[in-house]
Formats: sequence, C-alpha cells, structure tokens
Amino acid sequence: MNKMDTYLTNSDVARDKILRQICTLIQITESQHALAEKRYLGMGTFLSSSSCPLSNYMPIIYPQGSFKIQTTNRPKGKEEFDLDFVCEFKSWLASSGGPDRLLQQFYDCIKRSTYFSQFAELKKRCVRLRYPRYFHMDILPAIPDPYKGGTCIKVPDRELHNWTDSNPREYANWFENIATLRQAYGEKFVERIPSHESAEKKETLKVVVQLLKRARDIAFSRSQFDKDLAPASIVLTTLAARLYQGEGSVDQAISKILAGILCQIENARPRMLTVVNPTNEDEIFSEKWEQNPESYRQFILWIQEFANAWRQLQQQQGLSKIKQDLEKLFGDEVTLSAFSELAEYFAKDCRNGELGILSGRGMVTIPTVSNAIPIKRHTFYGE
Amino acid sequence: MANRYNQGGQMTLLQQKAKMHKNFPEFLATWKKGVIIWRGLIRPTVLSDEYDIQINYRLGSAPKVKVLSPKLQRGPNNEQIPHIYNCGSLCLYLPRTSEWTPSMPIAETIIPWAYEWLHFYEFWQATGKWSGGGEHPRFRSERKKRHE
Repeated sequence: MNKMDTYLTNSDVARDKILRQICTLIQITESQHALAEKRYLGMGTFLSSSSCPLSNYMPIIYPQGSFKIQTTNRPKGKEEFDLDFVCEFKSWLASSGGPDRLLQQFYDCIKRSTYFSQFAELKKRCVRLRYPRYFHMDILPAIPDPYKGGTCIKVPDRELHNWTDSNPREYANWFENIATLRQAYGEKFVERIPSHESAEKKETLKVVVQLLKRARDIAFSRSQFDKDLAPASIVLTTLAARLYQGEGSVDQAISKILAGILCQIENARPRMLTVVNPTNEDEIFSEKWEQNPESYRQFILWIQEFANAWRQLQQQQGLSKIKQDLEKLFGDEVTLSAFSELAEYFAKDCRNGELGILSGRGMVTIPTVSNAIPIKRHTFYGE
Repeated sequence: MANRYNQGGQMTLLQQKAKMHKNFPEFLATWKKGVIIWRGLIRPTVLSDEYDIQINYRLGSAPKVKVLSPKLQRGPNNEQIPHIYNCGSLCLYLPRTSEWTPSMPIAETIIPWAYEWLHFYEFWQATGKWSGGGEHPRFRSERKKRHE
C-alpha cells in the first residue's frame, strides 16, 4: 500500500478498520485482563508458599489457550468468560499418583487457602475458580511428560481417568511465532493515524482468530446449527495459524484461511480432516469430529456458509449493506457500535479540516494528497 | 445569456463551468434557459455506493443538488432524511450567511460538501445517527429569537 491509502480510499484499510473495531468490542477489556492476571499471580504465590501442602512438588502456574495468546473473546450472551491455566507439578512423578489423585489433592490444597477456597469448585479434570460476573479460571493440574521431555506435559483425561498429552507452552510459542514473524516478513500494513483502539495494533492473525470464534458463536446460536456441536476454539485457532500467510489485511487473511480450510476438507475426503497439536502430535484437537460425525458435517456447512458470506461482503458497496452483512456474521450490537465509532472517527477528521476531494478518487486526507480540493467549513442545514 | 457574464463579485456561469471542468471533468454540463446543469457520478469513499447527482445553478441563486440514483431512503423506522429540503435537494450550508456566496466556485464548495453529505447519509442509514453536525431551521429561529 502507498501513503495515499487510507480508510477512505483503500478497501482493505477501510474493511480492516471496521473488523478491528469489531474485534476491540468482542475481546476482554484491559481491566478484565488485569484482574485475571492479578488472580493468577496470587494463585502462583499461594501455591509456592509453605501453606500449600503441594509446594514440595514444585508447582508452577501459567496461562494456556486464548488468554496466553491474547485471543480471548467475551462470550456471547453471558458476562463471565473462561480463562484456562495449567498448574504443572514439576516433581510429581507418574508413580506419585494418577490424575484423579493429583486433581483431588490439588483441589484439597486450594480449599486450604482462606482466600481461594470460597471460589473453588472441583470439575472433571480441573479446579474452577469462579468470580461471578467477571470470569472463571479453569486450572488444569499437570505433570511433565517423562518420555517426551521439554515443555510436553501430561494432563488428566476428561473421560478415561488417565493421563493425556498436551504442550500448551510450546503451542503458544508456535502460534506467536506465526502471528508475529509471518506478518513481519509479509505485507506491511500500517494505518495513517495510530489509534487508541487496542485491536488496531494487534497482530492480524490474533484478530482473525477472534473474529472466527465470534462468527462461530453467532452461527451456532442459530437453529440451523447445534450449539453443542460447534467446533472447538483450539481447532479454529490451529487451522487459522496453519493457513495464515502473513497477510496484513484481516479481510484478506480471513478470505484465504476460509478458502484454505475448504481446500483441506476436500483433500481429506473421504476421511475427515484431522487437526493435531503441532507441538505434540499425540494431542488430537479434532477428536470430537471422529466421535460425532455430525459435528464434522456441521463444521463443513458453517465454513461453506461463512466463505460465501465473506465473498459477498468483499464485493458489497454501501455502508448500510456492508453493515447488514457484518451483522449476520458477528451480531447486531457490536456491528452497530463499530459503525458508530467509525462515523465518529470520520466526523472528527471532517471537523479538523483534514479531508479533501480528488476527482475520480473521492474523499482523501489532505496531508496525504496535496492536490486535493479541501472541504471548506460549512454547516449542514434543514430538518 | 446576459447572466453568464460577471456581475459584481459573483462568478459568471462560464467561470463556474470552467472551474468545474478543471476540478471535476467527469461532470457533464448542459444549459437550459439560463440554468447550468451538471451531472456526474460520485463515490464518496471506497466502501460507499456510487451516486448519480445533478446540480442546477442559476446565476446568483442557491445551487440545488439532487441525488438522482440510487433513490435516497428514509431511515429503517421511516425517519425523515436529515438535512434535506422538501424539494429533495441537499441542505449543504447555512443559507443567507457567507458560508456560500455566488462569488465562490461550486467546484470548491458545493461539490465537496455533497461528497461529505453523502458519506454522513450512509452512516446515518447504518447507525440511525447523523454525525455530521448541522443546524435545524426550528432551533436556529428559536435561537435567533432569544438573541433579539
């Protein structure tokens, strides 16, 4: 893109501005993030203190999933959002006890904390700390993988009462590397004015993942789909990262990722697509599809529908038609807010006398186009 | 044809035409009984619709800007389009003030304002709110009365 390209003249920049605004509205706020961080650091202090009976096992707590890679959305229709953490007991050996025992002891340990006990609930494979109206933290106890080493861990399996494989730390590194490095080598995509909006500066891949998850939540809340069969966030995140080619534009990245997913679905036929943890191939993220083929069928239907809607959106002209298309994908409220913000942004440029007109090009920003006709001050009149 | 020529400080129709041709060659000008009529397509921004607009100007009178297509739509709940005269022409400036006078080139005032109006109109369609500011005749006359 050249320096003349702004949200007024370049379609990718304009669409990006709207999409990143939607992303800002669906993600957790800075204060929610700060509060969650405070709670998790507090838990870390407790676990390593002498009042924690498991402190000898060298517990170390760290975020995993969306909180770690900064792609946490506020869930649609409820206030509380989930944050996932791992508590790895570095010196717990498989011989020290099985997953059920570790989980029970972990829970008992938290119940001894005068502060955390009031929030703790024992779940099937983790301890949940509920902070009503804010969030809940799911803390998964884990042990180092004695065979694979490195950052690979073993975590309690939901159904089998056994250990299962994971590697959340390396997964986060893998994702971060793609998000930052691929974009750095790819297209440079910097808007004219640095903005206060946090999602404006976020790596494109992270914004894409948040929008994919949001689109899934909206689609699977419709009667056409079964909410319980919605594809897991980790599946969408992994597919998006695998297919991301460093596009700066959110719009282009989504378009290519959707096309890539459809292509992989075709290539996998007659079998199902398999999505594994790229940093621990024994962890199969897409196992739900194997267990319930209907969930795979619904995933394909949704991706096809999404890809068609995206193509239509890319060709759409006229703000209110674009808004209608976006509402169907991401919900009415956030889309309206995003357009209101954009209208205000444009109005501010007008008030500051920064806009001009260039024949055949339309409105431009004066600092970037010197031969434009400036828009003189005036007052719209009439009812 | 007398009114094509310079009268006092105001620009002649020929001067207006020349200025328009220089700045917006895509607008075609025709004449009809002392009125110059420009017609052209404008797209305010890259995401906007394209509008076919017409400007009628009789020397010394207010230029009238109308959108021929697509037809301007009332709001989703049948709200009246803001800042538009009953005859359908756009209210782009405060009348009887110096915001626009016949000494100003239409190409540097009315046309840029029409671009801006159309973009605010699209935002209004999308959000239900007119972000472009402006004055309403009712409020203006009430304010005037208070000052008198």
